[in-house]
Amino acid sequence: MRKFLAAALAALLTLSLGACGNGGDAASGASSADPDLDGLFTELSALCGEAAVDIDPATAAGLYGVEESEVFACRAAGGVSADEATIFQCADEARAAEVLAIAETRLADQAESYADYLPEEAVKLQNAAAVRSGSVVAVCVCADAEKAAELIRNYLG
Amino acid sequence: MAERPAETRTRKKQQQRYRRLTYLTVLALLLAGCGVWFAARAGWSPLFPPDSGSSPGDVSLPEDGPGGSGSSSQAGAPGSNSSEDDRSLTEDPGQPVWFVPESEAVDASWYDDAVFLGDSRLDGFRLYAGPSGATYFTEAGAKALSIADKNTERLPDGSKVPILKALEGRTFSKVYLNLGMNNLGDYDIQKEFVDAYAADIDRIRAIQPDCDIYLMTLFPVTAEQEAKGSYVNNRAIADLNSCIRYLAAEKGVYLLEVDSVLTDADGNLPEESSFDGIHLTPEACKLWRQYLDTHTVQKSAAESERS
Repeated sequence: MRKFLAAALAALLTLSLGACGNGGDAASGASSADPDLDGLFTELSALCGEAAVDIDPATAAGLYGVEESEVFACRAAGGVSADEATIFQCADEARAAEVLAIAETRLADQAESYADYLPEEAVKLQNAAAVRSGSVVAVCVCADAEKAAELIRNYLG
Repeated sequence: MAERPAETRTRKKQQQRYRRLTYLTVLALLLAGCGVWFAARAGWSPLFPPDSGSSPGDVSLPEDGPGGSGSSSQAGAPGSNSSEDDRSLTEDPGQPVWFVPESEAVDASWYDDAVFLGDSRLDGFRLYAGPSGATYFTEAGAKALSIADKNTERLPDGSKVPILKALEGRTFSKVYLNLGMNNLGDYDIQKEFVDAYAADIDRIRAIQPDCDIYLMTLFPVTAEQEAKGSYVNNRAIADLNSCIRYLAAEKGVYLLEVDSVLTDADGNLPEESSFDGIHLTPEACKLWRQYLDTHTVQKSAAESERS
């Protein structure tokens, strides 16, 4: 009886651990060769404030000086806050590295611009997440920078 | 001998009185100085554009006044293809302000050779409703002075230059300017806004000699923002708008009274048009865009050729 109970508990534990693992991956869209960019964008967008709205790719491309085709999705707030979630999907890793550099420069310039204007937004910009994984670049400016970085890690690896 | 102490006492009393009077005078002067300073900070002082010799309200405005019917612009507007198009206000400063009349809406390609210069409100316009084919040089805290001397624009070579410098080496047919909100707290509006904005216009003309320059008036703030008692208030904005109208007339550039589309009956920005009382919502920006689309100056073929 004792052996049976031990085996049953061990099996239950193994199953529950496995279930937890699968659930986490599903929720976070675990990294893969084909990451769930829609899922990532939706979760990053939720971190942006009420002033942020979906921005058309042509306008977003103009903000960064990149090709419109490289913008996967963008949500941003204009003037009132610096909140933004933008995902780029580039042709290759080399181009993605260039886009990341462009994004980092833009974030630094914006932080400088907001420093005297809305200092709290400048802090968000300084802490913003800008990450490249393969040919994808994700940028997120929001109050919860740690959460944004964690989401990007989970989705892009 | 008995009178001497009495005289001394009287003299002492007089001295005390003089001293008291002096202290009171100094105190009164200090208080008056503080009052003037606070009034200037709050934008309560009347503003008189340079060389006008009168208040901005006395600038030759049309009879129905600015902000009246948007189409008040019909009269004397430079947009009409009449022989009067070639008149310049510098030749006849007594002419009415160059309102842009309402016209048929242009499509987005109108802005392909346009550049927008401005502050955080224009940043919002760009994101929420701006034509994507246009060029934008904006900075959240942009002021009339800063666009000429603060390095905010990143050039392709990596260097940073002032907004006006960034206009060099490129050709634009239309320059839209939206500045002033960040000047509301300036101590010397005359120097830091009116004179600086006038110099900006001159500089733009020197860099882009064939472009049409459009000055946009400032939208008001909401009643809630107004109630805060801040220097960002509608009285101060109205004063700056008078300066902008004056500048349009003085410099012979086009005036776009965009504020007319987002001002309620009490002169405030409708609450639903703003997130924070100052910056505009996407819906409000779309109304702004609609105004721009329907207030353009179409040049005749001959004029375009000359340009």
